[in-house]
This record gives sequence, structure tokens and C-alpha cells, in this order.
Amino acid sequence: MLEFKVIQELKPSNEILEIIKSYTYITKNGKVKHLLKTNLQFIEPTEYIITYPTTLTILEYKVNEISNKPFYIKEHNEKYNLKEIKQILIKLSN
Amino acid sequence: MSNRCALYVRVSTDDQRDNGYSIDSQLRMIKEYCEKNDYLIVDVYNDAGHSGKDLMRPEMQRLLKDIKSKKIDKLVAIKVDRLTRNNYDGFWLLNYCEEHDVKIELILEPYDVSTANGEMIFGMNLVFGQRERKEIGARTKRAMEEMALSKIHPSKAPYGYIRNQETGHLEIEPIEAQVVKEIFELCKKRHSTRNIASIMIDNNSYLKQGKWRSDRVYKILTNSIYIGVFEYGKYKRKPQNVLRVNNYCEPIIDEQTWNVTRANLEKNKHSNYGEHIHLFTSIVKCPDCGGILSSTNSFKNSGTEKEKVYYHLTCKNSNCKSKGLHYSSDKIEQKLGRILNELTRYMYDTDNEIIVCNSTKTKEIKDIDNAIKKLKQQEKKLVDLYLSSTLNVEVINHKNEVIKKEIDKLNQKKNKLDPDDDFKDYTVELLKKLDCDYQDDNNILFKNKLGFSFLWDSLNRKTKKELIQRLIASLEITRDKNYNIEIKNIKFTDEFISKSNKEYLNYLNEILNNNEIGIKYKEQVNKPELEKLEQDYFIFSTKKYENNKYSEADLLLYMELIKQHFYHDGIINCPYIEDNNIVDNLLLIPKTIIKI
Repeated sequence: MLEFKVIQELKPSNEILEIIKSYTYITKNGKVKHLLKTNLQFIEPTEYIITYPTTLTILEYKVNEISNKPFYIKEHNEKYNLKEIKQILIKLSN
Repeated sequence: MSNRCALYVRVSTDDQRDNGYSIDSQLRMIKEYCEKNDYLIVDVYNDAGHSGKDLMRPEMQRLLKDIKSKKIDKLVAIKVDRLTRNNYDGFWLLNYCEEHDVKIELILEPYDVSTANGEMIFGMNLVFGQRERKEIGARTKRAMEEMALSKIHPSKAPYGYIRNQETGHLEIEPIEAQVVKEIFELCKKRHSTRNIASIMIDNNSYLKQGKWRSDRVYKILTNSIYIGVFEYGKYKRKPQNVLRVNNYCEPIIDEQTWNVTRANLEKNKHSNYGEHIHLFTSIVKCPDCGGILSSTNSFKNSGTEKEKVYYHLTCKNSNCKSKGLHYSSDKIEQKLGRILNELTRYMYDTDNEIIVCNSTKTKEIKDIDNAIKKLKQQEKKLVDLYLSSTLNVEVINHKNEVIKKEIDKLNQKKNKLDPDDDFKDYTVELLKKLDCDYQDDNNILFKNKLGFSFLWDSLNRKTKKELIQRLIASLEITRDKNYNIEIKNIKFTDEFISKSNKEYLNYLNEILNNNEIGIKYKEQVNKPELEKLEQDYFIFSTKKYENNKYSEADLLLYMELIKQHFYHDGIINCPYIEDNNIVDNLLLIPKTIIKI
């Protein structure tokens, strides 16, 4: 069995939480896990699961320099940057 | 927008030579520009000696971090090719800066990148930058070839020659040339390269640096420079692209000797060379001394059965206490196969996660690094104490010496534990590519519920070795009193780390398709195609089998054939269609006869 050790918890972004505060949602912390006995670390994304006014699952990858689009919306199958994700979330309330 | 600006300068040696934009001149120009525009210089990022082919430059990485942490508002460089010479990276950088509200200003290319026109010119300049990089490479290649054709040696002189400082031509070095002649004479007498190396050591033959070893002797014996023919690009280019220059220099040996030695080198090759494939060449570390274990094999003949080969790994370090002990390759293979199986399954199931490479520095190394850092601080303090005249010179000197000795000791210990420390630091920067839009349309391996362990079991040794060498950089093992081998640590290669989950699974599928043994998967076949295939293959129909159309004897025969061909040349699985509907699933077994 692969053994992991969680070395960091990745909390949801306050900026996003501020925008979606009036929506129905749950969040799930992301994690940085070290695969023991190897030189690998796995990054589990932070999840924002919005259920009202629409159903949207947003994943946030908190990693530097890998991509300038750290957000991914499962339903859209697309990657976004912070500006774009903010716009999408603001649009939801309109 | 405020005016906190970052200065980025870069030069690779070629640029400096061709364009004259040295680091100093770049800095001077940018500083003048900043003063004129009343910009506040926050930091200077200097990537001297780094190529612009990618963004993996230390100072560029620091700059990206600082952009993200909002330390700067403007990024100033003289030209776009200082930032990058790669199209993709350039646009990425532009987006990245835009996103973090950082404006790029290029002194010698005065356009506003935030406008549509500016972005277009920026893009065009990037294209030119990329072209220039390629041209520099081509130019260097051409220049080197020209040098070779003019018989000016483009690199270090090979053993037996010296390079004339003025003309650049190769001239014979009499003492070394004599040794070269001896080596060829010994090869002529059919001595092996290892044997020749030992003779050279016994004779104390002249060597400027290094030791006489079998590979050094082999390199001399295969270098055509000794018959006056220079082969430029021999190791890097395809054979047809190698540039051969005849009469390049005065030969040391005659052509007849050269031809005889070619034949002898061929004859001296081990009869089993290439037949026994060692999976873990240069990968597994000795549990005691940390040195790389060497591969060996032994054979067992039992009556009429085929000779069985046992693969081992053994430590050849004469100072190691486990010298001579054998570690079974098969046991390591089993354990590694299990780990890779779980890891692949995990990567398949959790495609939304990404992998980063962990720092490979061990805790012990990190502790040594910290201790050295502390000692260096103490060393600095001593200078302060001397300047403030708190301590006398003798005491300071004594203490200084003690500290230096301690640092040397720690450095030695560190080198012993981690000889390729510099390389390891670099790997920390590598990240696995994010690949969210994962689709498994072409995924034969998992779509057919086969999994990694199936692939692993059905690979031939050659392919398995290739897979291991591409995925694993090093393996640390342990062995207990009962000779049980466990894997203590695996270091995955940069190639594995930089592959996304999708790319990795595609790679496995590719191996499955190209594998010479096991099951190969073929697209659906229709009746005429099947008739053609019947000439070369026995056809086993799943439909007939389910309807009990095969006799027991037929079934036994098919099973025996499948077993034989599975591990020899592979069998083929394909659906059979009639009127565009899949009506059967076939197994194609080659009609070739296997010699056992």
C-alpha cells in the first residue's frame, strides 16, 4: 500500500469565499502529501462545491509557476485564472 | 500604478560575443532609463550565463515568485530576447505579468505590451528571438564543422596528440603516442580491453589525469583519429550525419593494424553480450556504502531443460563490508513492480492531483548544511571581533583554524553521503504538468481492465529495462538477516515527474502496443481481412469457445500455443465485425514455430 504523509493543508482563498458567501456551498481543504519512500509529493486541490444558485465544482491548485490558470471547473472542463474565476462567480448571482 | 521596478538582465556567452550586450552594459542602460523615468529599483535579477531557451533559470524563478508576491510593479529589460527566446514562454510570461498587474518595459523595443499592437510586436520579436536562438545553434555547428574541415581541432586533443596553440592543428605527443601504439599492439594480440588496462596500470603508463580503465582503452581503440581520420559528431549524431575528415592529422598507427583490431574487438565481445539483460544497471545503491551496485548473472543447467539465468547485483567497492554479497534482481523487480502498480493505479484514479518533486536531500544532509552555515557565521563573527580588537590575533587565528577544519570535515562527510548534491537541488524545481482535461479514450490498458501488473508481467526484459531506466533514477534497498530485500527509497526521474498523468498512461499504452510479447491489441477485422490473417495465424474464437464448439484436445492445443507465443512473440486480440457490428472476439496466435 502506498503510504502518504500530509505535510501541508491548503485552505480556501478568502477572496473566493467573499464572493460566494451568499451562495450555498461547501469547501474542502487541499493537501500536500508526501509519498513516503519516494521523492514525490502529490498536491490535492482545494475544492469549492457550490450547490446554489447553480451546481459548480471548482478546484484550486495552489502551486507556483506551474500554470497561470490555477482554477479548474469540472463542469466546464476548463482552466481559469483568478480574474476569470471571479467574473464567473460574480455572474452567478446576476 | 506605483513605480517599483525589477531589473532583469541575462547573457549567454554567444550573445555577449555577437551583440556586445554584456551584463554591465545592460545594467547601465536600464539604470539610466529608470533614473530618467523616476522608477524605484527594487531588485536586480541577473541570469548571467543562462540560455533563454526556457524559464528554468534561478533568477527568473526568483523573479516569478516576487511578481506573484506583489513586490514589483514593473519589469524592465533591454529586449524581449533577454527575458526569453521561446515563443510559448514569452506569452506565458506576458499573461503572468498581466495577471499580477506587472508591466513589462523593454528599453530597446519601445512599445506598450498592454495594447493589442504592442502585444503583436512583442509576439513578433519573440519569434525573431526564437529564430535567433536556433540560428546561434546552427552557426556554432557550422563554425565547428568549418574548423574540423580546416583541420583545426575544435575541442581538447585526444590522448596521443597535443593541440598546437597557434595553428590549432593536432600534433603527435611522442610519449602518449608510444602508449597508443602499445595499446593497439596488445589488442592485435587479442588482449581484452580490461586486460590492456591492467597492463597499462602495471607498466605505469603515462596518463595526465584519471586512471587506466577498460572504457578508456576501448575509447582509444575505437577512435579513428589514430589513423588520421577525424569523426566530428561521432557520439551525438546519427551515423549518416557524422562528418568524416580524412588526413586530419599525422596518424599514429597504420590502417592494417586498425583493421585487425576492429576484427579483434568484435571477436572479444562476450559471447552472451546483449543476451542477458540486467534491469537495474546503475540504479540500485549498496545498503552499506551507498555505491552503485554492479550487475552480474549466474547460470544453472539442469539436465535437458533450458539453462536458467539468475540475475544479481553486487557491490564491488573494496572498502565496503558487504563486498561480494549478492542481491537478487528478481526480488527487487517483484517489489518495484508492486509499487509501480499501486502508483499507476493511484495516478489513474486521481487524475486531478498533480505531482511535484520533493527535495531529495536527506535529513542528514540538511543537518550538515545547517551546521556549515552556523560555522560560517561564527567565522564572520571572528572577523568582527578582530576588527573591534576584543580578542588578540593568536586566539582568533587558532579559533579560525578550528572552524575551518570543522567545515572541511563536514564538507567531506557531505560529499561522501551525497556526491551529486548540485544536481539534486535542481530537481526540486520540477513540477508535474497539470493535465485536468483527462480523457481515457485511447487507454487500452485500463479500458480493458488490464492494469499495470498485466503490462509488467507481459513485458520482455529489454522493454522492462527501458521502462525502469526511464522512470527510476535511483533505488535504495535494505536486506535483513533472512535475505529479505525491501525497497527503502525510490528517486523517480525528471522525465517521470514532468510527465502529466495522461502522458504517463499514454506512454504505458504505447509500450503495451509496441511490446514484442504479451497481448497486442488490433483494430476490428472483417471477413476478407480475417481470411488474409488466417494464412499467418491460428484463430481462436471466443464465441465458438462459449458455445462449446472446441473439443478438449483443440482447447489444450490452443492453450499450449498461447502459452508459448505469449512470452515469445506475442498474441493478438481483436474484435471481429459483420455489418458494422462486433460479433466475436478473436485471439490470433502466430503460426511461426518456436525453437526451444
